[in-house]
Amino acid sequence: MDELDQFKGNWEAQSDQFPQLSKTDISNILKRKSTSLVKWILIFGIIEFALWSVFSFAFNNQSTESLSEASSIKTFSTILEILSFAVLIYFIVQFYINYKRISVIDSTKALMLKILKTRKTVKLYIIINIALLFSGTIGMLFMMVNYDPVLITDIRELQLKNSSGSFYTQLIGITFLVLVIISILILLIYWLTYGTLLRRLKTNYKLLQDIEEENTTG
Amino acid sequence: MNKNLQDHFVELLETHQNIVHKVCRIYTRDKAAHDDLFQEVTIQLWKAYPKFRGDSKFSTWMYRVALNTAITLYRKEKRQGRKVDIEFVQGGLYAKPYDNTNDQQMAKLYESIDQLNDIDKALVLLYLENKNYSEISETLGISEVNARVKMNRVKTKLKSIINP
Repeated sequence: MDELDQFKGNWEAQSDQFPQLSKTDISNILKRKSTSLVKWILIFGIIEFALWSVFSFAFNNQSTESLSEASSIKTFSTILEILSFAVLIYFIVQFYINYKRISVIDSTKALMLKILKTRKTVKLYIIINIALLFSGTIGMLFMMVNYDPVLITDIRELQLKNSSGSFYTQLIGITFLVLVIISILILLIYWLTYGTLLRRLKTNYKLLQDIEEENTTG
Repeated sequence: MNKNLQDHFVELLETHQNIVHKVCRIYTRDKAAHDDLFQEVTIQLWKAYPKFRGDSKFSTWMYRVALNTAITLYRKEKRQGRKVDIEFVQGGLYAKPYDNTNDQQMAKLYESIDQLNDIDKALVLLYLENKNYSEISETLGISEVNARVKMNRVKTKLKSIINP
């Protein structure tokens, strides 16, 4: 008989030491709000969807407003808007389905997997949005330089003065810098929110995974 | 949720509350954290209760929800020191096993369990509660064979902590 078996008797006997809560105590607890990890994932997820939606639409509208009447640029901008909107709708539906599937009565491992999957959906949404932001910005720059009559005239004037080279360098440099700053900010926000929120869950999930792997390999 | 359902739930929880206390005892170090986890487990049990079909025993179902809350959903680091107001009778729970315990064996066991990780703690708890390996594997989501192998390793680990 090992140590743990020897403790079984004591373990059961300790039940007498637990203070017993009355029905009123329990009813009072039910009035409280949960602050579980899943609730935080939901709150953060909704905030992210809202922020990115506002951000991407504001960005697209601003771009369109500042544009000239060139129809090819307008078409490009409309395609970007529709694409952003379609991505948003698809991911909100996915996020909601994943969230609803989370159930505390699942096995511990299944529960962890579902939480991580919900989180992954939001993460993928952000990655796709960043990709859209990068490709959209670069695409829009290309369209403007080639199709915006005002900008084309300006560039021609600069070419006559022999300074169009530095104009392109500045344009690409500033765009690149803005995109890098945005990316760093996003990573920082992620580290501050989900980094701390999911650390324990990830550790415990890995521990469960290790149990399966250790036994398979060993 | 309707009043009858709530009354029924409260009655069941009152009867089986020691299960939640045991889970809290394994996963927390002081009374404030115990109270806090107890509250979160109770809320999670209540949220899941409408889906409880009675296929398994209420107590078995409680272990699963309580352990899932402690291991997965409970944000321990943010909760320490939060003010709670459950009135524990005489505060006996933490006065005895945590501080000046008369039972050295229990104190030593708790001290040793405290050094284990969250998953090992769950295995120890279910083992002490006389759950069979099939139930342990279902609760944690690992295979029965792996649960058995891991349990033996945890026992060895505990032995070396208790008798270094």
